[in-house]
Amino acid sequence: MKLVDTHTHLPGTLFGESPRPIEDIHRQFEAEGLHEAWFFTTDGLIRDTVRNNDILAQAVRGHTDMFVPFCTVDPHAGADAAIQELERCAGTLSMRGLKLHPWLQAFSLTHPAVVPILRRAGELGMPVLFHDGSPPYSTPLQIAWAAEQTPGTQIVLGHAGLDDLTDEAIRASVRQPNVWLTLCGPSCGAIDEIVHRAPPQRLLFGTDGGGFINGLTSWYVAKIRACVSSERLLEMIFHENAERLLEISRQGARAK
Amino acid sequence: MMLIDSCARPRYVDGLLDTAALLREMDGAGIQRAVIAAPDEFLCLHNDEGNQLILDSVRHHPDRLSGMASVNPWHGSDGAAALAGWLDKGLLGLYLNPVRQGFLLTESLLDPLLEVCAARGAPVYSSIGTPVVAMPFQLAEVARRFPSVTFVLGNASWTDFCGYDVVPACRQSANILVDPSCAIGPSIATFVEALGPGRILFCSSYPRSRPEIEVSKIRGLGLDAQGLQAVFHDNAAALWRLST
Repeated sequence: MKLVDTHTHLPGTLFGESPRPIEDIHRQFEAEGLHEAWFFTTDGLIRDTVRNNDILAQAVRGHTDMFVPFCTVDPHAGADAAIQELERCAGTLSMRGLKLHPWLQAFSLTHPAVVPILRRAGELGMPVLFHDGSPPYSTPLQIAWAAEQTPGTQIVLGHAGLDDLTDEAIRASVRQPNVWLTLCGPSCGAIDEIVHRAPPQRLLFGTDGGGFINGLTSWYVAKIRACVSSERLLEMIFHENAERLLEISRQGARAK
Repeated sequence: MMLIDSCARPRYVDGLLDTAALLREMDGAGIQRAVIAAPDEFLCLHNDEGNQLILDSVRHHPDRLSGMASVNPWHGSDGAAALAGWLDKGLLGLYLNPVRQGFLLTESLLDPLLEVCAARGAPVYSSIGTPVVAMPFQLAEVARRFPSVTFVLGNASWTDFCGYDVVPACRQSANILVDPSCAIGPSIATFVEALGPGRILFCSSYPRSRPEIEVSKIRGLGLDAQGLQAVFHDNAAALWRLST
C-alpha cells in the first residue's frame, strides 16, 4: 500500500542527532516503504529560521519525488517579517507547507502574528502542520482556536493530541472542517478512539522520523494496522487523505 | 522464557471486567502472567468495587493474573486502612493515576498510602508523563522520601518531551523501575543503555497499548538473552515476589 508520511524532519543537531546526506535519508525512506514524506527542519525550530529554510530547500533539490518541503517562520519576528519569509519560501524556495512548533518556538497561539501568518499560508496554498499535545502552548484546542479564524487554511495537528489530549484533538477535528489529525504519537487506545470519533477523511499517517530512527516507519505502520481493520480506511490514512489535503490547499490558493 | 506483564487494566464491560479479552491478547503475545489494576471507572470513585472485581479476577485465574489495588489518596486515613485490607486479601501493590484521581504526586496527601506500602513491602505503580501532576522528577522526589518502596514510572513518562527527564530522575532514586510501554523504541533503547535492563519492567498498558506491540518493541531492542530475561521476567518476579 502506498505510504505518505506527513511528519518527518531533516536531522539536525537539536536532539543530539547528526546531519546525514539527503541521499541516505531518501534511500532509507524508500527501503522503509515510504512513497512521499512531508519534510521539516529540526534546527530551524529553535534558531536561524531563515538559514535553516535555505538548508532544507537545498537538501531536497533533486529529491522532490520523495520529499515535500515545509518551511518554518518565527512569529516573534512579527507578522510582516514572518509573512515575508513565508512568501519567499513559497516562491523562491518552492516549499509547499508551513511547520510550526509552539512549544519549541516558544509562542502562544494567541500571539498577534499567528493568525495573519496562518491566513497568508492558506492564500499561498500551504497547509500548516503544528506540533500539538504538549501544554502549555501546543494544546489541540489552542490550535483549533486559530483554525476557526482561518477557515481557508488547512491545519494539521501533527500528533493528534499525543495521548493525554486525544479528546481535545478529536473535538477540534469534529468541530473545525479545516483541522486534520496525524496519527503520530497516540497509543493504540487513543487511535481506537480517534478512528471511532474523528472524521475519517481527515486522518493522516506520520512518524516524526527523519532517517535517524531506523525501523520507526514499520513500527508505526504495525501499530496503526493493529488498530484499524478496514483496508479502505487504511488507504485513506496511509496516503489518500494526505494527497487530498495538498490538493485542497492548492485549490484554496487558486481560488484567492 | 516466561513473560510477565506488570501492568494491564481489563476493560469494564456490562458490569464485569473483560478478562477474557485480556487473556486472548496475552496469549497472542506469549504473555503468561499479568498484574492487573482497575480500569478508569474505578480510580477516582468506587475504589472498593473496582478492587473487588480485580480480586475476583485474580482468584478466577490464579495461574494467569495477579492484581494491584487502586485507592484514591483523597480518602485519607480511611483509604490507608482500605489499602491494607486489599493487600491482606492478596493484591500485591498500589496503582496510582494522578490525572484521574486528581492529586499532585508530591503532595503529602499521598503519604498515608505510601506508609502502608512501606510497611508491607508493596510496590507502587504510577502513570507518569502528564504535566503538571505526574512528572518523572515528581516521582523521584516521592521515591527519595520512601526509599524502601519500589516505584514504577509508568509509560516511561510518555508523552513526548517529558521522556527526557526519565533517566536523570531514575538516577536520583534507585528505587524506581521504568515501564517502557507506549514509548517509542529508540527512547526505550536510551533508557536501557543508561539504566541497564535491570531497571526496565515490561508492561503492556493494555488497553492503552497492545501486548503484541509492546512485546515486539522489547524484542527489537537487541538485548542479549540475559537482558530479555530481566525485562520480561526477572525484574517483575522480584518486584511482585512471584515464585513462578
